[in-house]
Amino acid sequence: MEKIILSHKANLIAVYGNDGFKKIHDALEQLANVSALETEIVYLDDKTSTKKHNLDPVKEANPELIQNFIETLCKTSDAEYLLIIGGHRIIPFSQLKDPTNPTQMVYSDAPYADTYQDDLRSPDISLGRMPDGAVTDPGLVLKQINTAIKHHKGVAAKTTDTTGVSAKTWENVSQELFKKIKDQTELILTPDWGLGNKVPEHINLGIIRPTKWQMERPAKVTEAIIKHVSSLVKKTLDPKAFTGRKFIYFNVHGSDETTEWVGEIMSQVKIEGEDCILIVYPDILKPETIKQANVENAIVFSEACFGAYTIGKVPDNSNALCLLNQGALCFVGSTAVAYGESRKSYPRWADVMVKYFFDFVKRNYSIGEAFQMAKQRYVGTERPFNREDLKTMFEFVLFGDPEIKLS
Amino acid sequence: MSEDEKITRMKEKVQTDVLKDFPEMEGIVPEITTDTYQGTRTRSRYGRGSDEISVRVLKYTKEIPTFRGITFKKIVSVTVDEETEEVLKVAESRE
Repeated sequence: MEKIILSHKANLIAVYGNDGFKKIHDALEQLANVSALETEIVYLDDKTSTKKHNLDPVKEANPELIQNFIETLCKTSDAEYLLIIGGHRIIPFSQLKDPTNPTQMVYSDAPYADTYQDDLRSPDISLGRMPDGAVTDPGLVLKQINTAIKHHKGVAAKTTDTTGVSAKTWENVSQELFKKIKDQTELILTPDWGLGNKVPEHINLGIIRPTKWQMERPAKVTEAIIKHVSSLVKKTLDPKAFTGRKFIYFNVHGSDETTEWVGEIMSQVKIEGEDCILIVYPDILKPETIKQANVENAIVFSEACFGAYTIGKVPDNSNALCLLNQGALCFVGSTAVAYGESRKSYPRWADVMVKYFFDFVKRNYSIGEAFQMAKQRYVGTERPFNREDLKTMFEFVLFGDPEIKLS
Repeated sequence: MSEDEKITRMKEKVQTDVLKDFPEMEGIVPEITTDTYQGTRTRSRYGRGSDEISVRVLKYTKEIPTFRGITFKKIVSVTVDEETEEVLKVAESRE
């Protein structure tokens, strides 16, 4: 068996009902039929499904038991591809201690892909997941399955070239990465807006210096700051920039508390005799913007913190789920705080994952292989391998059918 | 050199070489930890067989309130070789 599609039958039924489960199962059978790989659907909690492999079912939401199940299943069946159907409430993400902060945990699929269990969680199989967040109908899962089916059948819409969006602060490294991914397009740096005389809803503006003005300031100071920032920010990001793209790359900020991904611009200006340093975080991407674009069949990679954190989320408050719901072929992102190179041009951490992933995809490896090899290469090249490196290995996940390749 | 002197010197070096690019971190006191990492991949600074280096990690964390009421958090983590005092890595969070 070359590829396993894995899910949890009772959990799917609990969330979607018997009708919903049947629709998902039927779609998975279609996906298995059009796959170029010998594919089997396995429900890890269902005895009729597991006994073929001489395995006991796993009914509990216990990542350690699930990890052992996957390890045995893949080794005995010789499967090299694994597609997990469902998010945290169907088959839970594993939780690993955050190497940079032992009081916190990182949600991860890395242990499931690490069938030979090493400390660095280097993947031994190509693993992808089709998450469902906290939705109440099976549409999101069905959309992802159908996107994969269309691609395997060769009837997916054509896509071209690349869109890249970066916070201006990280322009150097983003340009360096982008020139290796793109064909004809240019990197979009933190877009700018016309502000007029007040800070619009989609701007986050902070004062670094002087600290006395951070929370309160005279009205004329606020006016002067806004006037200055309006010279930096002039227009909104056009959804057409994403339309019909093969690759979409984001090097921006994200958060587990807000939906929008934001850019960053720092600016120095003298106001009322004071040397001010301002920091501006313009909104860059939110679901409303995604829905105005056509992102069908795009391969998306985001460095944003919590870009792939989908637990408890729905497409209307998660860019990752919205992209998948709008037909993106795959999404690669981080479930926790991600790191990148600060001010120089050579890539580090999340930047390195971007570089290697797109490099392998462009060389016609499947997205699952590209993601697997990107992590393997990462482990082999980054020195000294510090805590942020280990966290990068844990936190980046692939959403999408790992078998898909671009040709 | 005492431990305190060593730390002070390290912080001053990071301030001069790294934090000049991060004005938002002015005045932030770093959390400092000690660690051991696998060093170079193909050659060891200490000679054959020894591939570990001791480092100090200086982690600067700043919360930045904005006019809209949302607070952004920035983490800059600086890894310094304990022996050579060379700055090896500077990580900035994408949060």
